[in-house]
Amino acid sequence: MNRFLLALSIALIVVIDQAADAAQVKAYDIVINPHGASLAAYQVELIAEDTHARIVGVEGGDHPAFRKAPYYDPEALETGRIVIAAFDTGADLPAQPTRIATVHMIEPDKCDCGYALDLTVAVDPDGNDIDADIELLPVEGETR
Amino acid sequence: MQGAPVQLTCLERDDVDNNGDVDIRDAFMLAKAIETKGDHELARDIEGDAHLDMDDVDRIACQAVDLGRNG
Repeated sequence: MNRFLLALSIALIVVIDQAADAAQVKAYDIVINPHGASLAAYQVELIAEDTHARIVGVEGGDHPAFRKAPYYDPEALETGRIVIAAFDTGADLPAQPTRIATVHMIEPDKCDCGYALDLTVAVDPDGNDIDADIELLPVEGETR
Repeated sequence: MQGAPVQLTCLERDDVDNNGDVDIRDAFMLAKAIETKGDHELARDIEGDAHLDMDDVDRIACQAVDLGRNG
């Protein structure tokens, strides 16, 4: 009986280990370049192209105006699509490229996952649209 | 004779900048208006509780990122 339990435990450990290996955790910085204009509010939609990639977390950015975690729908967690947004009514706003958020993903093992990123709102302190670019940058060393 | 009262839909009420869409810009503009003018000067109470405040801003921001609306 003890040998049976030992064999069962080993089998379970192997299965769990293989399951853990079947996915990788990755983080991506979302960077907005407002090209010299003050960025007061943004809204971004991120969609994973691989249907098995899942969003597991969102954190705020570098600049004090966007350091707090942005608004997002909690229903987006564990799916591959999210809309994130934030604003700041203060005077200290980023005008140079800045990380506005980081998203944490679980991706299938060895997936070279692609993402569609759409900057739907980027406005200055008066609410006017600004010409801004957006980038998704993998965070080095965050894969495991 | 008075006309029939107009019932605004939730979307219309929250579209602060009247651009036909509820997004973070609406929340931002409302937050700025509250900060600079004070809620007593704003014409409408979006939340419908006769008091315009940052809860209204949060509610609009949450609508902006709601996947059900953005689907």
